[in-house]
Amino acid sequence: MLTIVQTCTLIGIDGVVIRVEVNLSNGLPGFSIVGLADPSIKEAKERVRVCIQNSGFSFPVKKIVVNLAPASIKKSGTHFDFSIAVGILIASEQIEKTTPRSEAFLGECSLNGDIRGVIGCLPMVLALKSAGVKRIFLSEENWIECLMVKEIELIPVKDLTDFVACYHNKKETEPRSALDKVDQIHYSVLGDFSDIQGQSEAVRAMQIAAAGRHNALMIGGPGVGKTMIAKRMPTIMPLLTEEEQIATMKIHSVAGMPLETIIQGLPPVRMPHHTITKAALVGGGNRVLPGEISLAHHGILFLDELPEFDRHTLELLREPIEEHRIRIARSAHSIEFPSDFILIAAMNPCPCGNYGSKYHPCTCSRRERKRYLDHISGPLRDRLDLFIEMEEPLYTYEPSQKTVTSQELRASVLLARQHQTERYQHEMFHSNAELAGGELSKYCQLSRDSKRLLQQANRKLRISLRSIVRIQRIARTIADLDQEDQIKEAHLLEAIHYKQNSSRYWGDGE
Amino acid sequence: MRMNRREKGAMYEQKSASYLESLGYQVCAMNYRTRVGEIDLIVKDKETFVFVEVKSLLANLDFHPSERVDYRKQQRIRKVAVQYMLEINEYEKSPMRFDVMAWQLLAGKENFQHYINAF
Repeated sequence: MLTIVQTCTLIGIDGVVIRVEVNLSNGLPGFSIVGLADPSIKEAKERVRVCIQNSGFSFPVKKIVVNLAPASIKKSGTHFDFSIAVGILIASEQIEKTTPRSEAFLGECSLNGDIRGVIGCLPMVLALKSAGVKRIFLSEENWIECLMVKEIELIPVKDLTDFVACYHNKKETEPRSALDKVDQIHYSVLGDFSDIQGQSEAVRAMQIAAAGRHNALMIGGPGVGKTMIAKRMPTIMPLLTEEEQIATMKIHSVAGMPLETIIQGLPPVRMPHHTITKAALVGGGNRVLPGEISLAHHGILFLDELPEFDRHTLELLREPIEEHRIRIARSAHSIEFPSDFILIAAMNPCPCGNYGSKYHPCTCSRRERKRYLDHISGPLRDRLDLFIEMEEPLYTYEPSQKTVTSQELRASVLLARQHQTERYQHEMFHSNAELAGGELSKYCQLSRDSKRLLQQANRKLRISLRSIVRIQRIARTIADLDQEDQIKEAHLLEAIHYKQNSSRYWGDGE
Repeated sequence: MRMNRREKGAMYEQKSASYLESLGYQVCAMNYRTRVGEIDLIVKDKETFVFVEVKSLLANLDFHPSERVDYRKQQRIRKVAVQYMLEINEYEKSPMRFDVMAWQLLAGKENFQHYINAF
């Protein structure tokens, strides 16, 4: 007796529909799975057998052959369990066959009959949907992550017995209003920019970074609040659009990361430690998984202690910063992950951390400082738009300056982003950070005085032509924050200031 | 009454056969032997051919059959079972099953356990 049911497998972050063919025949009783299944699927044999028995069904004493088609694709993962179990139950006529073409099953079987959640459920649901599947049975935990997917019937099941009841429509499925389950965003948990003492320049730079999607580097001694600022970045960024949300969730789902904050619409913040390996940063591994740069897609990649990172690891960031994606090539196949992130980096001004401080003496030699700064190569520095120098704030028992709140910052960032979206609606890109070449001169028109200012910067401050391009982009964002269509001299001056900080350390005449 | 091991084994095989017949099974062969090995008892439960391994005089009846009939023995029995099915031209036509019958003598009283679909 042959039965065919459908499930899915992952290639990178995309799903491929898999047909599970289950055949029961007389002959020596046994259970074999074929179709390029890796050990995690071979183990399904034992889970499925016990799961069926412990759910009150009988495991057929037959020669059972399961084929996972197309048999040429390598498959791995535990989500095949559920479909194999269903196939066996249908083939042994313990449950009725309904509409196999329009149904799919995703879940892992546990020995007590429960259906467990699996990794990468969202991309698989999306793939099944585009393949024309109408009903998907999955575990309750996966159900919540997939609620964003519309126009498909997702049926959460607790265990195999529960599934059979749902399958035969004996049980009412819950209405999809469960999106309410996702709480309102608790911004307070993330902290607020008003917590930050002083550092108004850095706060301003972060506002610009968020508004124009520019990359930034904060330079400051220990304890000046670099990490504190980076952690609060999501509170000033606009919420993710639905499209961005799904793109980001797909990556997190494949990596088996929690999705709660993204479901709420918050952009992800990734803060890898500086001991990170190359594969963990850009993605890779035996089973190719997305790295930190992809997990930060549509969000923020915060690299604390930038010079402490392995130099070769840092250089890997170059292409993804430009291309907004990473292609991981293997001899057999290559996989592409999106990686469109804002890079926020932080570093000390020197190994001891006190260089430039008014209060603490620096104990580093010139050579030591150079060695330290040289960890960040010119090409990488070139991809950073905003350089911010941070000084140690002094403790005051009565903060005189009123600090700006995240809410205020977010509102201005949102307006600036809207400006960009409107301006670039007919373009391939949508943020100021991506302006280049012809588009730059088209959208960053300067007055005579402004042009003269840039000329002076080039001649007197020895700011390179490449840096001048960067300055124009930032000036564009600053103007957007001021709701100005025309870039003014003040905007340019502020932008020059952020770039000038860089030459103070690296003295680049590039 | 003293018996050697083989006689004891044969006695319990006989007793197993009577018990299975009382369940409505039909005995097809006893001590079916080929070059590969031997099956103690072959019976038929409706369409299903049941291959029974009889284990006699065990200290404890509460065990999992795979503990007493190891993997090698299981494989041998499966091979002989296929040979039998081919011989009677029933291979891949009728369902097959493997059972274990375990016997114990406790305080002069015989107990037994029938493990259906043991491996």
